[in-house]
Amino acid sequence: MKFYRSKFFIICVAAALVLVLVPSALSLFGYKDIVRGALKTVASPLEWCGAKMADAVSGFVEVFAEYDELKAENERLKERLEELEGEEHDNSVIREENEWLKTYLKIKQKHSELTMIDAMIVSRESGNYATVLTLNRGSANGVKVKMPVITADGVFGYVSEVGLDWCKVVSLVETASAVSAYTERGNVVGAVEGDTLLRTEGTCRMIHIAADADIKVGDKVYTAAEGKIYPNGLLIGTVVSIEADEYSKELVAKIQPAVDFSDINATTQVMIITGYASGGESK
Amino acid sequence: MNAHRNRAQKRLVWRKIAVYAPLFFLLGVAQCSFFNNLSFISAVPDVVLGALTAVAMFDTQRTAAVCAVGAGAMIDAMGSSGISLCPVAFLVAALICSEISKKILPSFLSWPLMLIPAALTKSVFTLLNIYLMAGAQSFSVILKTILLPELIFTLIFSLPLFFIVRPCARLAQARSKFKV
Repeated sequence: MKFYRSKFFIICVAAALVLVLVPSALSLFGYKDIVRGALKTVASPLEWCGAKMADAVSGFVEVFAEYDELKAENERLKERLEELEGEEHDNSVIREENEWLKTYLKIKQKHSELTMIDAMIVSRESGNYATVLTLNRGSANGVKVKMPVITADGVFGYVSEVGLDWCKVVSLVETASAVSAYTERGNVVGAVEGDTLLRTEGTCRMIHIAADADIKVGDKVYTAAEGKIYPNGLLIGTVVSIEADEYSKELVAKIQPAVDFSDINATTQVMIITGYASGGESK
Repeated sequence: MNAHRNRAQKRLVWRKIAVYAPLFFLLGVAQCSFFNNLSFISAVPDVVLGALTAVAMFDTQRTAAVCAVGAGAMIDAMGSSGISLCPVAFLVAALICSEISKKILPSFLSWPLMLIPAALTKSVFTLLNIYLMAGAQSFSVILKTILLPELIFTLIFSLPLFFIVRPCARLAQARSKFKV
């Protein structure tokens, strides 16, 4: 009790009251407290360190405190990722189909007299250059023997054999193939056929060209209406060289097909022409 | 003899300032920055009050009173704006704890017996501060969201301060209350 009656206690109480009232009054009237400001300035670097340490500790604790939540979120995100991957795969299939349909539309616009069905290559025979292939369409889809097969680039070949849901296609470069043809520039008529040697290069030749025919390297070659297999005006390829046949004195032109037979795979889209205005021929 | 005694007392005073001032300053910084930013606690523990309670346990009533006024002013300067009651709150808490410490031994087992009244005293002044700053508020809401969390976290985080302040008090050559 002696302490509470002492001068020291009274001074303490007075100091406490002053330290309460003065800063409160300064703050209420909007005046800046110099002592408060100085103390904050001195303490601010230490407060920065304290805040950084608190962030580190909070982060460490959160790993354990929020483990179940994070685990559940992880599972949800994994499921969502699988869903999105599936959607992406579906989207890529749709994109490919869209590209294919655009190509199909271009051909349809160019050859509006043709009726076509699309087909996919399911197997192939021969070496580097695909010469005889199997497609996934057959008699059930209306496919018949000797129907022409084309791609967006040009003539591919013709149907040589048909099953219920499959058919075999002989390509343009195969020796069994022969097509009546003409050149666009000089209107030179001839026949495009496969050759045993040229087949390995992926090329074919045009024969029965008159010695004085106006044909040059670079001329585009198209199917002629006289043929029983192919309709008129389908692009076969381009003339890459011309030679004179030593026996018949006729010209023989080497043709680079518009279709790249070395690049044929399961993703190549082909179309079987099921109907057109004129007939065609085969060897 | 009196001159020698006065010099010794002055040295003791300076020694206590040199020990307790940095201690309360660092605890004040920690309270305003470290504990203020911990996201997993819902209230800031008053570790300065905890240290003050320890000083009341290990040192004299006068020292506790001076530390209370100084620490209160410092914590108000660093951590609050507007009306500040900490110097008075800490002084009352320090005096209550000093009275309790006269009746008990300074041990860790009796440490909570001093912490609880100190924290309760602070809670009363916190409530008063809220009513002065914000006007009439729902007491149950204040109790649930502010007072109880502050009380609980102050008690939890102040427990280790017993082992921090005790060597500081020894360093400051605190006079045991049991000495004549």
